[in-house]
Amino acid sequence: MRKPRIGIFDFACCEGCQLQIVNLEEEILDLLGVVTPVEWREAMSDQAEKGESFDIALVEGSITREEDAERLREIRARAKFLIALGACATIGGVNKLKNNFGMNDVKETVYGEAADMPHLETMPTKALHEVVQVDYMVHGCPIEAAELAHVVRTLLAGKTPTLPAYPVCVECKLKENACRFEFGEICLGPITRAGCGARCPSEGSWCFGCRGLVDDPNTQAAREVMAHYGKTIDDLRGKMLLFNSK
Amino acid sequence: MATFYVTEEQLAAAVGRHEGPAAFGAGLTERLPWIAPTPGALDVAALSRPRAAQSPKGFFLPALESLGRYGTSAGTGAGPAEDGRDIVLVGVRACELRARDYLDQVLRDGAFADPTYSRRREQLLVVACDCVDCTDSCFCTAVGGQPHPTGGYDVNLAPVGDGFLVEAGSERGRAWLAERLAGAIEASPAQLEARDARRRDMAERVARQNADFGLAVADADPPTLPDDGDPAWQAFAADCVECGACTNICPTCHCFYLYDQVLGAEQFERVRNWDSCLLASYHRMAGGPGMKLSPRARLSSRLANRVLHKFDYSPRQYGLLGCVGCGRCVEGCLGEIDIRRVVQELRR
Repeated sequence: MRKPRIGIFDFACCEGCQLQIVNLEEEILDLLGVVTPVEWREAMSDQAEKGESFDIALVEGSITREEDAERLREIRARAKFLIALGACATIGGVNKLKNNFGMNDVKETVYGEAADMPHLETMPTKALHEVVQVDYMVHGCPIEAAELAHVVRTLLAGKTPTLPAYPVCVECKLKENACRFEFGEICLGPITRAGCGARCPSEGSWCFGCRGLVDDPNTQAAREVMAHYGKTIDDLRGKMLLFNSK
Repeated sequence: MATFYVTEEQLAAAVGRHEGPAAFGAGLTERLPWIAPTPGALDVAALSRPRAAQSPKGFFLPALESLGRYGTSAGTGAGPAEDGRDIVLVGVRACELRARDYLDQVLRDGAFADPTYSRRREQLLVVACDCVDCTDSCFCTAVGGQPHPTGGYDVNLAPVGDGFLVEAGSERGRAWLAERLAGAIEASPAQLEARDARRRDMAERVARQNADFGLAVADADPPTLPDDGDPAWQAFAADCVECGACTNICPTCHCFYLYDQVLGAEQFERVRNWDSCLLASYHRMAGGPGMKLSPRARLSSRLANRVLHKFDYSPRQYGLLGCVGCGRCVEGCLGEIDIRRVVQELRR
């Protein structure tokens, strides 16, 4: 049987999610035993021929320029499954902060007098699914390496990987953490999709919401929780800007 | 059977000689922390405090367990990993024993006996304990219980000042006492009288703190509640953030999710973990990606389901209330939903 072929690609991001793949260490060797990586700029010297097809394309980063959108459409056309990797790819993440401002303001802030140069043209940030069809999402900033291994393995076994459809609080309560609201913090756990094992609250921080909003957040309850702890819904919105700007 | 008196030191020595287990569910790649009890000396002072935040449910029905591996490289038909250890649970409270009796009905004594539950149930030696303190949310007396065990234990402890009155409730418990507390002296009539007075005081205290709720239900006398489609549930559901804390810490909630974890090329592990009926994904049905078919799409219907399961379906199915009044869900709820208030306001 022909081994499934995997390509790994990146757009606007810090490449930390690819680093997580490298961090899989022993597990990556297992995975490489059952797949053939054909294109991976960060870790391979030989790259695939132009136009070659993949069984799975793992794509990191957000789309911030029209030429990126074009390249993503080309990857999509070559891939049987396209998996978005990490917050930049799944929800736009930190890159969407700039969507809160005008594009000219953004360019001038970053590049000053050089802002008008043609190669600095930029557009509001998009997550991958806002440009092409995405088959699966591995959320997080960075991704949970084990979750990626699970998704790839499950796909290779011919099964459908599922995403948690409940908030981070579920996993946080299972870990018996004290609620971050009890420490006077604003935690995005109640409205954020689980799957990380409540990593940040377990390490003593509030949830930053890097896995995006849960499918059907109970905004009324979130309001009441905020009110109970003497906060407002605007406080919550402020915290959401970091990873969940529109 | 006779009741004995032991000092705190005698009890700690008797229990302390028992080696703690590492964890249940050997062979799993990840594990939830509280399933593993810490080996070492018994925290005697904890026996005089209110019941713990977490119930001992996880010892009978672990939050996450492997039911076996299968596939070409694993060899098919591998059964669950054997624990191979005798475990003594110390300090189990009356509400928790009642909850375990309820789990027995569901998981052991029905048409299908769950093998891993039944095995753990037999393995565990249960040393129960009278409550001599309670939390603000304890309400066992309002649902037909009382804060001291009346049976279902191997050994029971009743704190009395500087020591404990110890009583065996089973043959296995009697043997454990004979082996570990051979030197214990019989309790005096005055000590027995003091224990009984304390039990009456505790029951009165729990009843007093719940007087305003007017719950007064029992296994044979469940409340009548509106059905799950009734809009009355919506006011309570508005406070629910769907965190699942109530079902996780509930000593009787037992719903689980079964899935196959892919370990490697053609090698799989069947895993069971706790699920929660409050979560939308619990009710989701097959129907293709994105369709999200659910008979309980509304959170109010899911919240109603949990309460009705406790106070309506379970009495009909097993003759037992599914709520033992431990009050953990009252404490754990981020939205401050108090199940006593829910039943009080909605009962007809």
